[in-house]
Amino acid sequence: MASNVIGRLARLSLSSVRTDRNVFRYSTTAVSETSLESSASEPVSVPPEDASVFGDVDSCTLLYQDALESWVETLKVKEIASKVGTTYLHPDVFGAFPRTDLLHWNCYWQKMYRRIDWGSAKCTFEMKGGGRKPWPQKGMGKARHGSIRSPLWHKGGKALGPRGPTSYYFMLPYTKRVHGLQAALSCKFAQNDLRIVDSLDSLPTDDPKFLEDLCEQRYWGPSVLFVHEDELAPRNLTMACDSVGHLNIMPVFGLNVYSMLKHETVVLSLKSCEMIQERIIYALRRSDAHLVDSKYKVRPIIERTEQPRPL
Amino acid sequence: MLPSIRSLTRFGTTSSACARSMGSVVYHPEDRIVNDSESYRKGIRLNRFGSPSVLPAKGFTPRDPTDKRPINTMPVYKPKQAWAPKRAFFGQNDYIDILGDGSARPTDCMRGVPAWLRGFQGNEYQMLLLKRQAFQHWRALRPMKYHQMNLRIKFLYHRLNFKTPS
Repeated sequence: MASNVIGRLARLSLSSVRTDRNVFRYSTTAVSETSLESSASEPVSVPPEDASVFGDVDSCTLLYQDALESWVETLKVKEIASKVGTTYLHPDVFGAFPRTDLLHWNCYWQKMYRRIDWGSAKCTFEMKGGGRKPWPQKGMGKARHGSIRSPLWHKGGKALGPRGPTSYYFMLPYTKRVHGLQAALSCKFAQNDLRIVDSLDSLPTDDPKFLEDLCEQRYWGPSVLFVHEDELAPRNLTMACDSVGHLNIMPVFGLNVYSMLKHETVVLSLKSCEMIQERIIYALRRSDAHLVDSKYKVRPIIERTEQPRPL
Repeated sequence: MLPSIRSLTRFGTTSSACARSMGSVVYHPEDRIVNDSESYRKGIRLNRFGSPSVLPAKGFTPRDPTDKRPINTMPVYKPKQAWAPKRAFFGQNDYIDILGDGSARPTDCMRGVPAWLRGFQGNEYQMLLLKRQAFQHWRALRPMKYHQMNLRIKFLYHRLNFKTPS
């Protein structure tokens, strides 16, 4: 309780300082961006006069760590100078240590847990024929053999071959998967590959050329993943992404480590960013995380077909 | 076969001397009997009495030109479509239990995996026990297959319980 009070007091006292720091931060980001994007004709340095601050600082501020900040852009125009304000991000979600080992584990799990090896070979006893002794044991001058389906024979059964469908399923522990998401988002944010837009509805046309030009002018790289808060993405964006392979849309619940690493830039809408933040923090803080893994230790669902009845 | 003139001249008899000794026989070079093996057709020496050569003599890897079977070669490189939908959306919904509302698990939306193998982790014996449950209809429709599956289960049971050193 006492620490909470102290923390609040500290925050209150810092709030005046923070405004100054914010200004300072703007200037630093501006310098870095202009130096990176020197070819852009329009300077990006100055935030617009009507810039608004989205989100709540207190929900993103920890006792010993400040809230992260990010630009909020809009898709209304192609130009790079399309900032509409800033937003606060939680340091536990977007500013964690980039655990590359966890990224590897998560990608490996995503590839393997659905993998089924369908290779199978027939044993000696599963082959047809081979019951008769091919020739008498003695007197033929040939090697002794008992069956033409022996593994020694051509077209014989296979000894120690692959047997049946082999499942490579395993479940990565819940906490490792949560930390993997955290690491992927943090890496993207640190590399300036995580962009936040006010809303995906703000795209004015359904022309794929417009969206491609937009991505090119903002240096979003060869592939972009748009993350929408809802299952149904806005019509304009869907139409624009439909014919272009490297521009993809995913709902929040479909987001995953593999896709985040496959796509160069991840574009979150403000609302989806909020949802991701809330859910990851819930997963990080929940006290029963060690019990979650037991949920996956279930026998598979067996759909028994009805047995045919005699006529 | 007649001996060629060249072999006759080996004894030192020239054409003029031969004509003198033999009286009426006069040698004319155009009448010379030429062996077929020494004749030329279209500027190419005719060997083996005109039958075509078995051994292919031309090229880096000489082969029979009449053989129409395709030659085994390296396939032409064809790049994969990196952004085909199945690759672009690979892994979607794998974190649905964390980022979703909590009602679904990643094992619920595994695609390309049969229902009876979803979330299964085990050896062949355990797989076959599950398979026997899921394929009960084989008992009536594919009795041979069902019988062989049972044999395999029996064999594996004995191997695991009585043969495997533990």
